[in-house]
Amino acid sequence: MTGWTGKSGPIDKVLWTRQTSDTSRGRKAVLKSAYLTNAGYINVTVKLSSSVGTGWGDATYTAKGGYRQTASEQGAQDISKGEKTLAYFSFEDAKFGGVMHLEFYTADGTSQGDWSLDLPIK
Amino acid sequence: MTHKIAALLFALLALLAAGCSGGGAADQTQPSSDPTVSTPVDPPPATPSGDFATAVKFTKLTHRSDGLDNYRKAADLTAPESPAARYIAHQVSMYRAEKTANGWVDEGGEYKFKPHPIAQTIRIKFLGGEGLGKPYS
Repeated sequence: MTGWTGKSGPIDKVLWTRQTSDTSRGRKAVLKSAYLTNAGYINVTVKLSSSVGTGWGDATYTAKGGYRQTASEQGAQDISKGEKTLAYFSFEDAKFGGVMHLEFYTADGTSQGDWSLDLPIK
Repeated sequence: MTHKIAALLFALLALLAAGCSGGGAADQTQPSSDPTVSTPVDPPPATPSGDFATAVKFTKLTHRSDGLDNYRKAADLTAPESPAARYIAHQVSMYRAEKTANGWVDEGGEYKFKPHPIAQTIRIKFLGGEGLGKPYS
């Protein structure tokens, strides 16, 4: 098998094309995969790591046209110093070409939004 | 997770399987209904071609709820670095991320498959079963 054409078109047109990443003050996010489902959701998996204990809030996705939305579903909320995890995020009625935004806060829950990471989803 | 289930619904799967020619079974002539014609010049295959059979197997594996095992088997049917292989890589990644976050993974539900060897398509119907998630062991 190499691929197929489904309801949304050829499979290669609904898969991510670039591995993007961002870092800020010890926090790092790397886009691992993204897929635009037939139902119109973009499902994203992101590898998150940090050299300090940290948590993150609801992810947002800003489309090319400027429309911003909050993740309809996401998994994993925090990691301790030196840990890494694989988190998932779902954005409803979305298209590729936007940027996922994640705000981080300190392990005790304070200072929310002091650090943020942006991942282009293409 | 309605969207996840819907995401799996390929309403129509037109194959671009490796090795599938542009024509293949789709170019085969339908057998005549005339009983005097005992040997049609170009009869359709009695069974799906190897490529199509692989595609049917792949489709069923990616819609069956059996943890990562089926994704591994499906991955074995894909060409390295192909879109099909990357699709499986994404599904595996989602599976692992959901398991990491929740400790279990949504089972997805039941599907009915209607392969059409001549047209080289597979129609997939969702039979329900949303919320059949079970604790991951």
